[in-house]
Amino acid sequence: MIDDRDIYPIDSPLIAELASELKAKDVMTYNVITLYPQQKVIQAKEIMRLKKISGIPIVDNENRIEGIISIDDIIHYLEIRDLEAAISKYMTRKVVTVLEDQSIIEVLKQFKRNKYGRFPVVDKDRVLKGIITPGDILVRLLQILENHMVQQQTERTVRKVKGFENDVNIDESKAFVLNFVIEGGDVSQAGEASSNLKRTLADTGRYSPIFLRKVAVVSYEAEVNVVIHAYRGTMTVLVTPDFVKIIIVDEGPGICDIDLALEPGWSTASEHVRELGFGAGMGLYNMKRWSDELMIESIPGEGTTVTAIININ
Amino acid sequence: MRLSEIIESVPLKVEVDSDLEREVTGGYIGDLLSQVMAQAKNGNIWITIQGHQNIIAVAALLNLSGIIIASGVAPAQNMLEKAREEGINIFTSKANSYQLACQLHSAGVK
Repeated sequence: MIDDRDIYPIDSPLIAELASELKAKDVMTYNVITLYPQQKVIQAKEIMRLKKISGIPIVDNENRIEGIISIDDIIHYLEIRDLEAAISKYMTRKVVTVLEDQSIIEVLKQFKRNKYGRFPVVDKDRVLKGIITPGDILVRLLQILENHMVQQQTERTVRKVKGFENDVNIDESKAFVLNFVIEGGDVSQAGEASSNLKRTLADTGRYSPIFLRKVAVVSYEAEVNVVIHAYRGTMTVLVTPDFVKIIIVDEGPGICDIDLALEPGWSTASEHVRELGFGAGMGLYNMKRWSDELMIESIPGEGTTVTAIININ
Repeated sequence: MRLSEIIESVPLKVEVDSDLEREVTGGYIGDLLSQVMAQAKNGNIWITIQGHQNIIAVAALLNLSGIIIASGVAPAQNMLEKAREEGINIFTSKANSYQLACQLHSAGVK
């Protein structure tokens, strides 16, 4: 049985929201075992034993609630050894019911006020529709919470941090692609891919120092993020006459809160890499500052894709 | 001002001599790599207490003129090897970052 401490207070905003939106009819058990007042208590006792239930609503011919018989009533009946008695003699007549459209939060308050283990759920004419226990509510809330967490985990967040307002047409005949593999976890190799990229571009002699610096900072920070946080990743660089587009795709933990990750100084890096001078929380911030366009896509638990565009002129 | 001129007046131990005729355009002090990536400029000499191999990628990407490892921090062997491969000048000093900055300034690095 659930006591008051388990139900109150409700701290989670999600649970509080659910509890006010959910109605008794969304949670209650529909197939209720009922008995008539003229049936015998011994029948009630046997049903309760066999079905492992602790209370049975008693209804009239139109399924309107007349009373309820609970374990307490049965104990009373057993003490008296009134074997042939009808249910009407022992049932509780002052039944606390809840309406099928009542919110779960109100139902929970009812459970707090009255120390009953269950409430018959009725419509406005007191016709029995179902039965509800604190356990039903808990199970349903847990179900919703679980679904919510699963959804949250697989939800892709796309954040256009800077630019990416228009699609860009690329003349493929004038573009070329460079591919780099980044191993996650191997801090000693951090900077390999971005160094190679910068060297390749610098060797053409076509680019200004400031452009090369932008490419260096953006690709370095993206690479370090993969090395520090992810299991593995790739960096694909599309070089066109007007801009370079750097796409870093990783398999990793993803980013739960992209806005927070963009805050300068925010870092989830380990103590070990911080001692090496990484994890200053400047990575994404530097990328934002030095790129002309930046987009971050992430699925928590799966990985992150960062796309940056740096204009040549 | 060239590195070769600087080492005449500033007591630096040359660990890797890749090209001491490089021009020094100024200096930067920092131990957080991202901070250095964001702030240090082409041709700067970088003063840091990091002596591990990850500093080489930063220096190479920024085209720094050299790295001074301060406060008597021992340079890692794999870092020195990488510096040779990448053509990065490496110096060490017992002096701390502030003292080094003062010495460089007196030597003419502004």
